[in-house]
Amino acid sequence: MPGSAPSNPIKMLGVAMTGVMDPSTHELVEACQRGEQAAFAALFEAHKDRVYSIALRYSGNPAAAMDISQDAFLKLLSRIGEFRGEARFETWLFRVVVNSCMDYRRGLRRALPFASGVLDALGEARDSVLHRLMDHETGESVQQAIAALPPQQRIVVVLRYTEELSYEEIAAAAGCSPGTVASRLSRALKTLERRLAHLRKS
Amino acid sequence: MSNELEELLKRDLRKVEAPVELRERVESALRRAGNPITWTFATALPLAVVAVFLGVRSHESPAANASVSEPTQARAWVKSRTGLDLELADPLPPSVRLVSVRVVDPAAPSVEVTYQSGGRTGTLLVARASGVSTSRHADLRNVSADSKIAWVAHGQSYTLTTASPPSRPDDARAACLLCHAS
Repeated sequence: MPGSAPSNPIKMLGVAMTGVMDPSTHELVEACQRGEQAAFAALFEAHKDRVYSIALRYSGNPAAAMDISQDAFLKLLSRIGEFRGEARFETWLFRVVVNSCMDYRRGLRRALPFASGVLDALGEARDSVLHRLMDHETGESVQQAIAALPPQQRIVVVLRYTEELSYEEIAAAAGCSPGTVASRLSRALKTLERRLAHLRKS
Repeated sequence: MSNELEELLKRDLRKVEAPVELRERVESALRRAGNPITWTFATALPLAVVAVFLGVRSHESPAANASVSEPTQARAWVKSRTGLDLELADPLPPSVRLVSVRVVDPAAPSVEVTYQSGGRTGTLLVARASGVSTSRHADLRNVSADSKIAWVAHGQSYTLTTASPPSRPDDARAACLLCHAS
């Protein structure tokens, strides 16, 4: 519907775009590489939801997801000239987003939720008042259990279940082999089975 | 993997729509990146003001109180006085208010952060820890049966006294939010 939020004219860097003719991603990327700002605006609109979704599911935190998404789009713009079309644009985009997720982790020591550290530190003292409090914090959301996974496992889970990528596609985005993807996913799911079973019991 | 877990993951990891603010964020960042001189100038002035403020403060008594409301302000103040890194959530959630920061012992750097949540007051004592810990919350323990919790992280020890016994979930949650955005 004209005038609704998604179809509003896009304004990016002072460029107003109306009636984007739904050009192919290939044409958009080429235009972007030529420095056409409107093309970047269109790429942004086309991919912002998937970028933000990956960032949010990876970080478990809307503020962090905004930071990661912003970083990913800045990287995308600064590196768009490196994209040669040898792989799908989406594959290249996923790799950029994965890098932003990993960079965010390195730059923010407190990125992981408090509950994760508490669960690790408490060890066997699972009946303490403190632990029950933290269970209350974590028990209501699968996202919390995912956020406690090691980053390399977490990103594999997110790409698999948020984007429904194949092992090969995840491998291309994460820069590893499909076998490594399978291994990380298997370990992650075992951990989640265990952690979510515990949360359900409590 | 159980079907139940599969369903949970599909449901809780589903795609979402990006907030409209994301576009503004990216636009703003691009403007900054495209105009580095303007950006440098824009940041230089506030930084200079902070530097002057800290410089003036540094000529006062080294063991002093600071009435602060902003985490970044508190962090800079503590860093300049003690070398400790007071990494509070920034911004703090609306439910938590920073009241003051106090250098407890300049000789053995330690600071006491006082915060309020729901009209009740709690404190966080931060000091240099012996040894190096890269864990987020190593050696977590209840110091007393009432409301005191201690742990070590990144070479600093933390002792948190919640506003009331941690049997009150709201107070414990508020205490977590002092340093953690979620």
